Amino acid sequence: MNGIDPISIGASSIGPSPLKLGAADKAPEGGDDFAKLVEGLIKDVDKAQKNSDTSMKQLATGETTNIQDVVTKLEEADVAFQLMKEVRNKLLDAYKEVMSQST
Amino acid sequence: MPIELIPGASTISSGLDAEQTRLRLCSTNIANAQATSQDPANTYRRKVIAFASVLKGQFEEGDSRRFAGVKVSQISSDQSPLRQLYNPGHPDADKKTGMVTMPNVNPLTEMVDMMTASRGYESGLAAFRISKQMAEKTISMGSGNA
Repeated sequence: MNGIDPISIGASSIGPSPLKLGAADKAPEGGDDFAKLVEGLIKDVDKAQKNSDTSMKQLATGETTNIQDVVTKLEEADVAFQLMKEVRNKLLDAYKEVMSQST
Repeated sequence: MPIELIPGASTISSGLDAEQTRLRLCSTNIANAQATSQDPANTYRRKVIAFASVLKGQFEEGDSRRFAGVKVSQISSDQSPLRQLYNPGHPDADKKTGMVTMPNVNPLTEMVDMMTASRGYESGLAAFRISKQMAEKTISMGSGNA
């Protein structure tokens, strides 16, 4: 998988931040970072989907006969999508948690 | 270093490819088991396959990411003696002795080779399945239905 490493880069930059929550002036910058991280993640998932689409087309047109490579790409796209779904679920959970504070 | 969502997916894919090549060679050997030739030197010889591991240069020795997979290093002809069969009516028989030079293909060996290829392929698929399961379980680690 190419380029999914924004997650690991992002995770390492996000990781230590809870320790210095007092530094309020850093917060907007961190938010921007996270938006970029999510954007990168979505782009990577999209790329994986397109990759699997291309290899499916190649298989259909006879450009490749390597079925295991096609299936590998499909499965990678599947796992990438699940990862994105999980991140989105977590975000929604957190949002709902915050929104239900008033009730 | 981009992370691999399914660890070892491309490595496993190369292994499956290698096993497919092995099976293809078994088919060639079986198909040519009765192939004769006017010139005994041109008689079909059993094809033997050899594998070699593919390394990625930028990783240190001892790093598991160094192994990029496996490849078919060479396909050579088995140099063991060809079978001689007495069959004077055969078009490719020696005019004087009536002997036909038959390929050195042994169906039993080919069957065993095919089983090896089949089992190797199955192990590759199992490794892929487990690798994917691990990735999925890790992703859904926090949601409780892992």
